[in-house]
Amino acid sequence: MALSISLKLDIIRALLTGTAMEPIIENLRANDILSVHRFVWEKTLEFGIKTRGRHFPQEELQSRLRSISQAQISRGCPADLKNCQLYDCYQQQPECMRAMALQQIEAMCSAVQDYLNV
Amino acid sequence: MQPLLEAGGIQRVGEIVIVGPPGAAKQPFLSALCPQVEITNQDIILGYLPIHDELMLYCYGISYGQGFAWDLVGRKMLGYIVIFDWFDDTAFAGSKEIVEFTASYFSAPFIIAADLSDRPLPIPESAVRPPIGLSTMSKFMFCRSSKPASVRKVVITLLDMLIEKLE
Amino acid sequence: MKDSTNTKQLVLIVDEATAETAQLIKVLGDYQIKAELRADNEEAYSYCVQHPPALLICEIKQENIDGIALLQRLREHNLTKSLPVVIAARVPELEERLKILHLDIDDFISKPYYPEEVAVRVDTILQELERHMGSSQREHGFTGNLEDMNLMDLIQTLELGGKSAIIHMMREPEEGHVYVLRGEVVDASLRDLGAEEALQNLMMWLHGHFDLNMLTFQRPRQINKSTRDLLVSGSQRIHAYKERANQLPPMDSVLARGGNEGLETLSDLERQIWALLSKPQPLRILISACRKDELRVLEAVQELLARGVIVSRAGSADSPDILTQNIMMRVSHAKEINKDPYSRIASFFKRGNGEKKKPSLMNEIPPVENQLTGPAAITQKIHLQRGDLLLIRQRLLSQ
Repeated sequence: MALSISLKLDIIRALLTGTAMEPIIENLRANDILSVHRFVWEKTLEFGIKTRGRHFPQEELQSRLRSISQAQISRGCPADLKNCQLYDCYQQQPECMRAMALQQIEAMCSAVQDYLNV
Repeated sequence: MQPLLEAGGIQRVGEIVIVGPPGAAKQPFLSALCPQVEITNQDIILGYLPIHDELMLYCYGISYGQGFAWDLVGRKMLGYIVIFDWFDDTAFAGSKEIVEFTASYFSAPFIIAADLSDRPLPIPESAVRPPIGLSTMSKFMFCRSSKPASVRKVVITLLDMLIEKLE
Repeated sequence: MKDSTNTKQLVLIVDEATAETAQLIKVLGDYQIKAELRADNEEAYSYCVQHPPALLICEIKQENIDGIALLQRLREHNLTKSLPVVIAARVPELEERLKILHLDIDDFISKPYYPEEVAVRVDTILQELERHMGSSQREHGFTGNLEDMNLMDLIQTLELGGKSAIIHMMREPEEGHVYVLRGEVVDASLRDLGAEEALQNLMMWLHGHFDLNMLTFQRPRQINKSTRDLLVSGSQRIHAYKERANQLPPMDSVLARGGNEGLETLSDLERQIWALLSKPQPLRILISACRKDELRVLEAVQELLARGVIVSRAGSADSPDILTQNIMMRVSHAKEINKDPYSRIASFFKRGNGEKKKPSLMNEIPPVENQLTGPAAITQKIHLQRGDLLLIRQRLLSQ
């Protein structure tokens, strides 16, 4: 599902100003949340590369995302997965997926704010 | 008086539209870009940028919501720039409304230009250079409407998108 | 049975043998696309370099599959460096996503997928390729109308791309040729004019037709001026020509002899024009018939009209001769097959001559055109040419 330009504009503004993302995305449907997750992911990398260079260290960001994934499993993942698969759960466990996507989006926003010193 | 291209020339004209919510700095933007600017009796700002005897760039500055021949200009415009005051929440909401309209009706590339005026950029400049891609046909960038170099950069970015589109 | 033009095209799927891939092979078959499966990097690589498929559908990470390594190897091989690739995989890890961005892929489909969707996307890519290959193999160039794109524009386009081509120009009742080698104009022919004069005259053809054939050729250089200089002087001559033409009757108006006074004072060129008007002729035909520099002919015609030695008459000339009819027919045919020269030109340069097109990144964002939802979505037409846009850009940069 493609995001509208005005929604992307909202996301960009939230990323650049450090304002909360939740009001922008809380009412979106599960598949839109997935699209937002991808868009924020792309922009996180983009800002990371722009401010810290092409090979900027991503370990911290990756571990933050993985820890969210692990926590989700520890809360009792109904799909009984070894690793939380955000995109696989879109149809089977949309609410579970939504919760994790929102947390990961917030984590990525926080990383962007570190990159931008917002 | 509208400057006409020299009689007998090839007479090529490109058109771009600068649109923003009421209060957006369209006139400073156009004045920084074009050597000659006029305001029509419909409050449309017209800027002329002659390139050479036979080639001219026309720039229309309009406020969203005012009467404008979108159906005529939209078909042939090279692209458009949506400008708004970055620090004004109402202007930001207005710019989204504009984009929702224009992106639905026109397939031309566009730039969303967040005007900083004379205020400092609140983030590292490297983060927004080059402009932020929103889709294959749209980019977001900051600008300073009163600074010719900054305004030219916005228009050059739009031209680059067009040139890439033609390739 | 689905409607497809990709009969017997072969697609290689690099993935494990699962119910999902079996279903994909079946659905591709419905689209008349034959698919084979390889579940191992080495096997897939050997297969591709021995029998390059029309397209590769590739998983990124399975037991014996490392899609990124496979693509990197394929991109280094001459036979497969331009192979269209669709990645069909689970959303990859961070490092993989970054690597994929540099691999010139044509599409990305995340798993689990609907085989129907994959088949449609593959079919679209193959049809696009087929269309491109068909047109470039058939013509290796493009035809067009000089009113839309004159010789100056063509030369500028070739210069920018450093391309070689022979441009065949047609304007009733004449034809001429311009030879461009790696973006430089090396020769031109028109009537019995010298190369540079021929080029200058052909640059002033603002109506008629062209047929541009992209090819390299051997030809001694007859024009030594740089292309840039030629374009500048051509531009000045076009300007002068149009100014002069604006002071004359329309090109289709018929000229005839007027009074006989002062005939003894005519120059050679003016005398030739007088002689040619033994029968009334359209101005356009008269200019060609003189076989001289066209700017000079216009000046002479203007002088003769001013003195009343020749006059412009209402009405039409006699029916065109066989040559004119022939050329008109060719022009009309070419117009018919070439309604939109710009898109033809753009597509030619975009993916021409085996060049790899830019990848459509794995980003799922569709172009804005696909989002048009308004009741009267307006399609953009770019009226300026690339050269004009570059000039505007240059002007802004130089301020």
